[in-house]
Amino acid sequence: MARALPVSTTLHATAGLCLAFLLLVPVMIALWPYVGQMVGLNPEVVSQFVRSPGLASAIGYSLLLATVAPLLACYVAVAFSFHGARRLLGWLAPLLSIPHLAFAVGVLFLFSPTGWLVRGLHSLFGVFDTPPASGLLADRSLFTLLWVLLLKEIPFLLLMIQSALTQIPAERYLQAGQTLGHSRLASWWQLVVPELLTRLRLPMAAVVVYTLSVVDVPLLIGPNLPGVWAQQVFQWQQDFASESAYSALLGSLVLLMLALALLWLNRQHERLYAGLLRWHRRTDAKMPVGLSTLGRLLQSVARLWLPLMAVFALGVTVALIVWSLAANWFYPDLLPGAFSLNTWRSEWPFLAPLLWQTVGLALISASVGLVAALVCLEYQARREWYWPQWLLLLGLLLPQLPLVMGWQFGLSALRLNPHWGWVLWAHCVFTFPYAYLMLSGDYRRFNRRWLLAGQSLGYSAPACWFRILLPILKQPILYAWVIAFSVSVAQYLPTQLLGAGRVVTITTEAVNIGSGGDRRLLGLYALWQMLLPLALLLLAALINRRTRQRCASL
Amino acid sequence: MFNCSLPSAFKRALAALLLMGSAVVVQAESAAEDWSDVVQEARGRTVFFYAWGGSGSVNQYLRWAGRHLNRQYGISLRHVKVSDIAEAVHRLRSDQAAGREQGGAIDLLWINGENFHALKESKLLEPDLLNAIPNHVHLLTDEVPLLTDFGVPVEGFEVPWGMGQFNIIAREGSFASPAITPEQLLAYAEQNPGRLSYPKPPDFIGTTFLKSLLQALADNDERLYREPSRSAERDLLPVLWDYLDQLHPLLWEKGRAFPQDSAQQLQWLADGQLHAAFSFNPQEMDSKVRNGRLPETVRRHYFAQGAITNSHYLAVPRNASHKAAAKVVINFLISRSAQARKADSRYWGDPAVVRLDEAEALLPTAQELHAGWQERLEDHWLARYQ
Repeated sequence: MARALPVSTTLHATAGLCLAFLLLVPVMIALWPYVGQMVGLNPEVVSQFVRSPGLASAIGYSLLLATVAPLLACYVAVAFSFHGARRLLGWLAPLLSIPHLAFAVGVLFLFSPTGWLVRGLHSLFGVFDTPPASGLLADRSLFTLLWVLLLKEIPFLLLMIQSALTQIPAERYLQAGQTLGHSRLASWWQLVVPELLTRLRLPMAAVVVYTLSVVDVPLLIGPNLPGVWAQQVFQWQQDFASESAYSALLGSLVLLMLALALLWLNRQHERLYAGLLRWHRRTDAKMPVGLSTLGRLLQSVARLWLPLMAVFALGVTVALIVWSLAANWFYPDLLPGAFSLNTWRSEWPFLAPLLWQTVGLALISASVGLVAALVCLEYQARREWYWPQWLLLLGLLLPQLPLVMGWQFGLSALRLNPHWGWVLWAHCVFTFPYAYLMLSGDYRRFNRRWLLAGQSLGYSAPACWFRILLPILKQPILYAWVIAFSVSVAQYLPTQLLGAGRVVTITTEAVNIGSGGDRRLLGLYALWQMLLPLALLLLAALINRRTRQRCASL
Repeated sequence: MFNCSLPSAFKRALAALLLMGSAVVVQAESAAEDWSDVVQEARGRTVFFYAWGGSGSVNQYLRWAGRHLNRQYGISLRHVKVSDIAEAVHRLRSDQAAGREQGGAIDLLWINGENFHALKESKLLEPDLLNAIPNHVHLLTDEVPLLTDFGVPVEGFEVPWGMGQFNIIAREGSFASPAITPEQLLAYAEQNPGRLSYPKPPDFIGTTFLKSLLQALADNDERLYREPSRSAERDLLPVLWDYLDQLHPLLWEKGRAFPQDSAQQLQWLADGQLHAAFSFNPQEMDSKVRNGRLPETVRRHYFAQGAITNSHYLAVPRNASHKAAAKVVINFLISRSAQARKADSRYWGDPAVVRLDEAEALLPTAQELHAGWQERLEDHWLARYQ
């Protein structure tokens, strides 16, 4: 196919700028302190680092978490996708846009030993006069953390599977399998899934790295004797003793290495799966009974996932609302002794400016990220030459902590004051890859002959883009915008470290208030953290529907 | 030789006296003038106050102070809520490493103990702060040891703001008397496994719990109040570790996880997951019960050898951007009216550092251990149990 549209100088320059400011410069600045401070390393510092208490367990926790949660999430999502829910997207969007932190708080309100479930059981059956000492999800444990991350990763992977499935002739594979006498389910797992896993490599990598490097969620619900590795590094980074600075530096290097190792493992995952399949076919061995039972179990669990998740999301929202309105609420009461608007009334004057700040940051950074993603995609489409995706997604594939630590050091060394602008820029570095990831599938599938046709009718290249491509891709673009917005709302590390308390968002405030353990405040802040992306989602849905109606009436 | 006659000597002495007197007057005047200059300079500024943000009642109190400061002095007080003030210490350290000597992000700090010690050693605090605050003359420095912070002399680098006393809030009927011993605690844990815990050291209240245990178990050995020597460590610490080795399997989650801080511990007490929680504020229980955050069925206890008592302070970093305004804020926060409201258990309940007409009686006090023990306890604890 001939080049649809020429690459203008403006496009060329804009794409270059986007890459420079959202990719190259951030990574370069982050490298700087490592190069600079490594000089001060001596064997003593290293040996002290190696001897830090809990080092092995913390690394072990992180490895376990970042392997088990993404893998389980992946297989549940793959199993669920077999049922090929068509109208899944409508359900996924709200689930996906709930920030991890709000979800974690809500899950605790529901399933902790003093959560609603136990209280409900008490009032129904009179069991648990005192809260169970251990059981369900303890307020702080690796298990709780694993559950929250697992549940929260599934919607993202489901969305990525939906996108990947449009690139695989899955239906034909399934039919071919069935004509060879396999069941539809066996064909799915043997023919479609290997292909699917290859295409899930990057989204899985993003999930793995996120699970490895997330800090705010473990701070609230993770174990603390020791914490997961990222949390440990963050605490060193916050500590003031000079040895801690080196420990933080070495710790973030270890985090990077863990990330590399896990990314390598992630790459082996699809090969291992394919290898096992080949081995199974060659030996023609019967599937071990255990494995097939496990498969069936997974399949039924996966079928339950959507209704369960919908109930969870609803429960989380209601629990957050009720806690924010509770006057006095002690175990084992099912409902607060009294409801009051006190928390809302006294917090609102302080919450409102925070919300504006958060929305402002998120709207701008989501828009910048989206425009940058569109520019890069359009540039590549016109050049008909695509950059390797991992490069563009570098912001997602590098653990966040070392990046942000590097930026903080850089700003300090350049004598730059903590400023709203820096936080905004840092948010853009993360909204850009998410927007890109959300969009790239649909964008690359777009049939560019339409643009050519438009031009042959005498329209200019930009006019064609705006009048043809934009309306057709409106839904995925709006959707990418909402997700980028939600990503910005949920940013903890960049806001906390670069904002230096001058720039405070609902998320940093929720974590800092969470340290006080006041459920009512935490409920209120988590509720708002959840409401902001949902509100934008609603807005996007309205925009989408209006234009669709307009198109239909034409 | 003695041609210096008496009258002339007298005259000279008189002149000297007059000079001195006028110097005193001038000094007093200039101090007052200085302060009005400071107040003038402070008008219209924003003070970024880095302070722990985990307590609703403290946050509310600071909001009240902010409204007052804004009305009276045109200062806007911005409470930068940190989950651990060590974050602020870290920021100042990295500013220092990057050579930033002014225009810093922090104007005012709420600190004490090791954080103060670290900042003082690195010369990161504004010197002569205490004397620059007119209200410092009302401080109870004679009655309470406010001028040493965990054994480290304050030397004017920080201004006392409030006092803490380690106390235990437990469910009614858990312990027979207000004063309790480590043995009683262990016995309770044996009868009610999984229902006790403590904030994870190096959390400050968790470490204070360890210190209280150590005081009781080591029979208040006088070496606890001096810089710890190797032999003192060897003699005194093992009995504490033995005790904790017995206690930990009986704790919440069998001692494999701990509440992150006392606020979380208090929340779990309210939930009924734990039967006791610790506080550094003797009025906290009353205040929390009144606010509906703790059930009415809780009682206050303290360790039999006395409640460890220490003070907390306000300080201004050397590279602060709005020093004058920060001083005005401090002056207000240690004024009688601000201290009275702070001491009122309806608001915060933190004991005052100035004399008030109606002050709550303090608990029987125990001396704070030397600052050196803090680090030893935390390091050993982490090495043993993490």
